[in-house]
Amino acid sequence: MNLHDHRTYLTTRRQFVSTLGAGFGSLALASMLDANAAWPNELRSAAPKDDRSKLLLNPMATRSPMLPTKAKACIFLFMFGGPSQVDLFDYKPELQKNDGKTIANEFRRGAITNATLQASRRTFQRHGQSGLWCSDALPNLAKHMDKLAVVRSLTSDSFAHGSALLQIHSGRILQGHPSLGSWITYGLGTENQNLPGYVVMLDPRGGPTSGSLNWASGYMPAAFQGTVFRSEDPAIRNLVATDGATREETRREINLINGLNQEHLKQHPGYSELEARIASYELAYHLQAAAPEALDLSQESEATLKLYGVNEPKPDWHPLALGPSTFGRQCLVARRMVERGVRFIQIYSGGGNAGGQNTWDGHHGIEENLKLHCPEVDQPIAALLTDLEQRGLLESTLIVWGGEFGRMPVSETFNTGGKPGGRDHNPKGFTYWLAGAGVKPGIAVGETDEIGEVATVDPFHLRDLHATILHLMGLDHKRLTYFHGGLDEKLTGVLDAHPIRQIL
Amino acid sequence: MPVQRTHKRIVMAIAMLVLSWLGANPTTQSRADDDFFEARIRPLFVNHCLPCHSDEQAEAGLSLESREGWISRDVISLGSPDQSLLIKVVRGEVTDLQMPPPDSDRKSLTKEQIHDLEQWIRDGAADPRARNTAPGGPARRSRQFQITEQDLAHWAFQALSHGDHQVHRKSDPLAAGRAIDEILNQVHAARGLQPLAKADPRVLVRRAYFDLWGLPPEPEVVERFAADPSDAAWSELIERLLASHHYGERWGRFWLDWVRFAESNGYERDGPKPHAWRYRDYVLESFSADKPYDRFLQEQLAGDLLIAAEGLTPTEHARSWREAIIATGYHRLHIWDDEPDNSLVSEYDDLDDVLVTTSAAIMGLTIGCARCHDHKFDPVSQADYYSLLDMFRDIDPYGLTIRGGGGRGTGRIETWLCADSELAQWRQEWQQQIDSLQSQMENAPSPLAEDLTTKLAALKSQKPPFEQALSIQARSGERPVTHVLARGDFNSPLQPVHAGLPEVFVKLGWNGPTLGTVVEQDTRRAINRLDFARWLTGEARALTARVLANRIWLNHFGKGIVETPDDFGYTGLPPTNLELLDFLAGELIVNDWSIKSLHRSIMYSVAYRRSSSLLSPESQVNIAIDEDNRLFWRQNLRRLDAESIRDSQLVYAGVLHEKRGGPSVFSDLPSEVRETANPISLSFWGTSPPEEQNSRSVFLFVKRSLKHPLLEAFDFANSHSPVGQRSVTTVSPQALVLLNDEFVRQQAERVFSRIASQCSERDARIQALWQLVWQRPPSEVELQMALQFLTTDEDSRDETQRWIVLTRAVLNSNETIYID
Repeated sequence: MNLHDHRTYLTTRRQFVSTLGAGFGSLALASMLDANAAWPNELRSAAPKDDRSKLLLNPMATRSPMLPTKAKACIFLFMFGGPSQVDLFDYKPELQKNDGKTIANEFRRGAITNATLQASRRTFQRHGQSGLWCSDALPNLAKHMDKLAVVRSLTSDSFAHGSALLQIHSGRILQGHPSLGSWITYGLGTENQNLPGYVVMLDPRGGPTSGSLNWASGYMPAAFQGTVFRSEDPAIRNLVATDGATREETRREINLINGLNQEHLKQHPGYSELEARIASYELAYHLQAAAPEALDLSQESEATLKLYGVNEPKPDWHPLALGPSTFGRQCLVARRMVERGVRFIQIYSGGGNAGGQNTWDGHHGIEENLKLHCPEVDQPIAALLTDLEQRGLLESTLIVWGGEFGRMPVSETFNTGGKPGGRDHNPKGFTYWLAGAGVKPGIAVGETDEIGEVATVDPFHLRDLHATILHLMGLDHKRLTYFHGGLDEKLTGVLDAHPIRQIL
Repeated sequence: MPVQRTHKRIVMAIAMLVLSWLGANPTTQSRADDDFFEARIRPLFVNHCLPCHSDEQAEAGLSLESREGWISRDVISLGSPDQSLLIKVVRGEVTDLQMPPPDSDRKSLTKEQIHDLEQWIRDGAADPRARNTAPGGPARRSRQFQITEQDLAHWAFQALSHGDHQVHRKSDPLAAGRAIDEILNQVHAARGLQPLAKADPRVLVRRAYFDLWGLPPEPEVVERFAADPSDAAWSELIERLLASHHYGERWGRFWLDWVRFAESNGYERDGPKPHAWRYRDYVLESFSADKPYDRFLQEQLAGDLLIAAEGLTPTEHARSWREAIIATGYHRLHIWDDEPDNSLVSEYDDLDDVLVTTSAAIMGLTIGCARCHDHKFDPVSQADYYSLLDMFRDIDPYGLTIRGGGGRGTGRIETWLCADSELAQWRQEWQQQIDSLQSQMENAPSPLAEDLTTKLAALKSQKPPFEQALSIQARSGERPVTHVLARGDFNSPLQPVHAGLPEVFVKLGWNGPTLGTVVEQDTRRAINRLDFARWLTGEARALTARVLANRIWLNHFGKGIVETPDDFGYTGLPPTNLELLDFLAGELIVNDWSIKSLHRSIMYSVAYRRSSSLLSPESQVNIAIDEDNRLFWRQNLRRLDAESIRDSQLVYAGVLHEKRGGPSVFSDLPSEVRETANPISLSFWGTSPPEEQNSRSVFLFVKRSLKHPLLEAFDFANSHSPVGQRSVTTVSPQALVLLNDEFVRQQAERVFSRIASQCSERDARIQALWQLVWQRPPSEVELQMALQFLTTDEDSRDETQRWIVLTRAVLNSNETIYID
């Protein structure tokens, strides 16, 4: 797939697509034939004889990576609102000692105020052979620290949710650029043509700030945008007919459309886009079966369901509390999707308007916030790591955990009318962790200052994290380019970016 | 040995020349080679070679990660596998140098793999990795920016070449159509192409309707033209289509794509842009009225200055005055972050958005590249960028400038559409009423006072009874000095600049004495937005007209003469027929920038009316010469755009609402769509009257973070950056939408009720369905197919249900979705 050269036939978005279109018919047929035994015979004969045309396929056709990699899939566990590094992974004895002390704190760009240091109310401990720190807010995940590479020194460019979310998702604080999942599926396609290559699962409390912009394909074709998978029916919008057609009835309807299209094709030979469109109806038909199948947890053992906490009851101590069942179900579905060849899966913890306890945006009390959200993700993430490892999938699956920024070591006053106990946004030093797919396990890199506010030792920008993720997926961030507006655009932009070597 | 090496280098150089030629002229062959590389060679490299020979770990100094890597180590002899070191080592022919090394844990290559490598090298070792920097792509400029002879000779910057087809046939579209054909015929003859014959009259009517209206033709119109497909009838048809408001509704939408129109700001709240619909109406009406393009640009870029220059007043020139204000909404369409990390920096982001859009949409240039450094390819320096940017700084910024956190409000982005005196008078009367109420209250007893308090509150919340427009206002306070910013960084200002044209245009002599004011010791004159707008269709008219003519042609053929409509610079593609492009550009200029005249010229040509069918034997010959039809030897089969797909269903159903303007329609979004949005952003979504739900798509509210699902599925414009040509994807979610969406089912039901009310026999109904949607009778095969579907024993649904499904199948089929 010549994705990396605009002068030959990627000159414009349009040209790119028309090129894909030119080969989609034959390719789509070819690549899907393998997967779908149910392919109608009359279409089979249209399959290409020339192997070379195999590459020009639908946008989601599998493409080989640029670099050696074991990774086949990526699961991005996104903690919307901004999780607090100083209460979870970034243990700071000096902060603990200096609780209540006043410091000058930049709480928004260029705006400085006196603020009170707020020690973490969590207890920290070293875990496993690696001795990595994790607090008691995540007791299950703590048992897996030897699998993680913890980056404690990330920085990004915005104090505000909107632009910070855009930056973690698309590399820019400016709107209109493709998201990480778009870049990865643009570079690699996907392994199963019967499911979307880029799946997004949302928190039932609502869409994140800016909604679909976070999984948009920007200036790339819409085919590279994320598909929202819902936890109730229909899993995907328009997956089933509103008139309640049965599977057989849908088949008959598609057969009828195929019949009309075949008549049309006889009068319009030589236009492969027409064949591509015929093929898209077969794909849709298969998707109708494949999507519910991927979500069907009845195929899972009782032990697995228990591991993920799928059937845990909703806690009643707080109206917003969900317990582990929602995220657990989504993590389990993510594993099933990885098994089925989905390339990129993003799961959101936290949803609805930022600023409330419905997200990780703990302005109004960090303790309550942790008590709400940590139990929602702790058991599910631990289960996911265990389960993937047991099935031998961890080495081919990259797990990424983090939010749009971290939080301040001081008690928040700016947004709460002076009420203490919360923590404000912090893009100057925060934590991400990665696991699986060639990530060096049991290692922590980078440090924030002694109170956990600013990355000081080996600071890494978000674009370094993006370069790392791409590298682990077998893509070189410098050469994964998309020609737009006179530029070879990259996820990592024009400023220097480097994969984080220490964790590779 | 040294002699041999030199020889090898020469061979390599020649081979590179050949390759560079291939790169510049994509052919089927080079594509197939790239595909072969991707299918066979890249995986082989990745799995067997890159572990030791990557950029990062290049053992023996060899990296196989890019073309440059193997060229620099000379391990491949193009065309000669036997001479290539790479082949020798994988075959094990070089002592002590077998690859992969036998002592490593990597397996040696299989026979097939070695065979693939040999074939790849024999075919010229096509390697698309990083060909960006190889010959054939645009050349990088030297680090020290200067305008070169090559820049001044760039095709897009030359005067129009009229050649033998002098543009002097003002308002004679028939002659212009013939001239288009003559220009194309010459190229076809020279290349051995045999252009296809005229399409069937039925095809032509359908093509003309969808092209000019984006709607399907009435069956009677098709029948009439099929009976009399004369040139006179064709002309009559085109005139009727051009005269309708439906024309503006389609072609205005193209402009909205080019200037990335949306009615919301984007980002966290994605709040609405007030009165943005008036700008949309202005665009639609301008197209319908065939407003000259020069005026159209002047109003949008500098309506405020135009009012001053021409002395327009709200009372004497109500219409032009109003349009000039509403048009300046152009400057307010950009994305705007209401809670930026730094509001001083974000003012530059906003200006960049306007500048990038203006340069791409109107000038076909990618000026935005020069924000952080001199343009790497085109003759645009950073100083040029900031000079142009400064031109837009005479107006109030969109957002209030504050430091620190929290959301911020907008600046003055609205204007009252009434005379200042009217507004002042209303305000005065209003204030008097308030004063009088307040004085009454002072003396009033308590029950009465309460009543008066309520009255007062109501009065105070009253707004002036005049309309408003999204627009610009002259900057209040001192105009800031614009500096070149090192690396685009707000905190690193370099030298100050003033509003002026890019240097390349000065050197081209496009900086005439009438333009702007002379600034001492500066090659650039100081210009304002009106100077600039006039310059675009004045000194710069060759470029401006080429860009526009190409866009018009593109939307009649599905392909531009320049295939990169937003990029006429070095990174774009050159025109496939410069003479044709220049002729069309000349037509625009000589016809006083009338776009409708250009439609006529194009549509009167035989070229436009050719068949798109590849059934004919000459097609096979032509395909071998010009597979992609870049030389327009036929029409293109085109998929309908998103709006046409939705709107034509409403037409078939007989329910298209007659809305022609006014506030945008909020679609009734299904809950699965609403739940993906953030609540605060969703709170700005409104409701519209049920009957307006069936309006044309151009009237639906465009919210940046929440697109209409059906339109988005079919590649609606991204609304973030200029889109000269939408992508056309073919993916399964589109099939799911047309099969399962409630909207489509509803229209299918309505179509069927229409037909059922006309006739009752199955055959007659099938005839009617085919006539309504495809304007032709069904073939015998189709008739049988439909009858069988309706009468089969296998289906438990009743016949009405089957009819609806049959109708939906017709709406889903390729004949409905593509035009010939």
